[in-house]
Amino acid sequence: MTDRSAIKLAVCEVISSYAVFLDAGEFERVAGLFAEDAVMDISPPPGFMEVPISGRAAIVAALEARYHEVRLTGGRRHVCSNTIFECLSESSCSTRTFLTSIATFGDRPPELLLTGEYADRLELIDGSWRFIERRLTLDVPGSGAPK
Amino acid sequence: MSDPAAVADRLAIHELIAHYGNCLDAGDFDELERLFARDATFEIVPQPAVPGPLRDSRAIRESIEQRWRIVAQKQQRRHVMSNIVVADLEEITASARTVVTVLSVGKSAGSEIDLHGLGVFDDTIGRSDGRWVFLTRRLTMDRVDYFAPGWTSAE
Repeated sequence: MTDRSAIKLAVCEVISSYAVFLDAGEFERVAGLFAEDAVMDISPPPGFMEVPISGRAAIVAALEARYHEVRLTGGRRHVCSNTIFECLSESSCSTRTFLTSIATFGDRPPELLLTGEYADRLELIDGSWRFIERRLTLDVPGSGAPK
Repeated sequence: MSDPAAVADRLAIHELIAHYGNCLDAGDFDELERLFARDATFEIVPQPAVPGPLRDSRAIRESIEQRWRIVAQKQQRRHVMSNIVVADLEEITASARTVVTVLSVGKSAGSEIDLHGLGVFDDTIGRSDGRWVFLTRRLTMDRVDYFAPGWTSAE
């Protein structure tokens, strides 16, 4: 078991934690996953929030506002998979992760909403791996796979 | 998390969670029963059509197997585990949260794959005889009527 393996496992759990905490509405925990000066972007812009967003507080506020909008009709599951590491050091790394977003409802079957890919950069800050950059590219019908 | 033993424990817990899905979908209930501590509990909330908390590994196995035998007559399910987050890892205990996506395909010709349901497992896990096993499993399905009309009735 190498240090690289330990880092990869820790980073994969940060990526999973983001989805789990976001879908559960646990925004203090979501905040803990971002660096203070983190940047989040979505391409193409989704319409429901202004992007890019700079700074942890602004990112969490935007996510929380969107969460409460969604909760009016149901919920979301951000299913993350296929994480690969593009570069990795003891204090920073970059990854790519597939996203499958699913709408859930209390009284009817779930609906597949969209797919996409996160391109993330993380750094080891105060002993924890945190996002410094999250760039989500959504798969738009007819446009091919995200670059 | 640079302690090699802690990394190995986390990987083993990830594998335990995945293995539950594999055993369930393959109908391997001898192995599924081994994934639980003898005095484990399994609870599904909030599902009026499901019996109360199941207690001990044999009762858990028998109840899940009973349901599987009915569902498997007509459908193949895939319980896809993702977003696994291990927390509170100690020498002999841990907790974990996992998103489960249930896909279903009918066994008759021309059947389409159905995005059947989603939920979250909240687990407590313990080390027993050198391996990690479920102490408690609590499954919260997003859809309140997921198991309607009943636990042992095909939907």
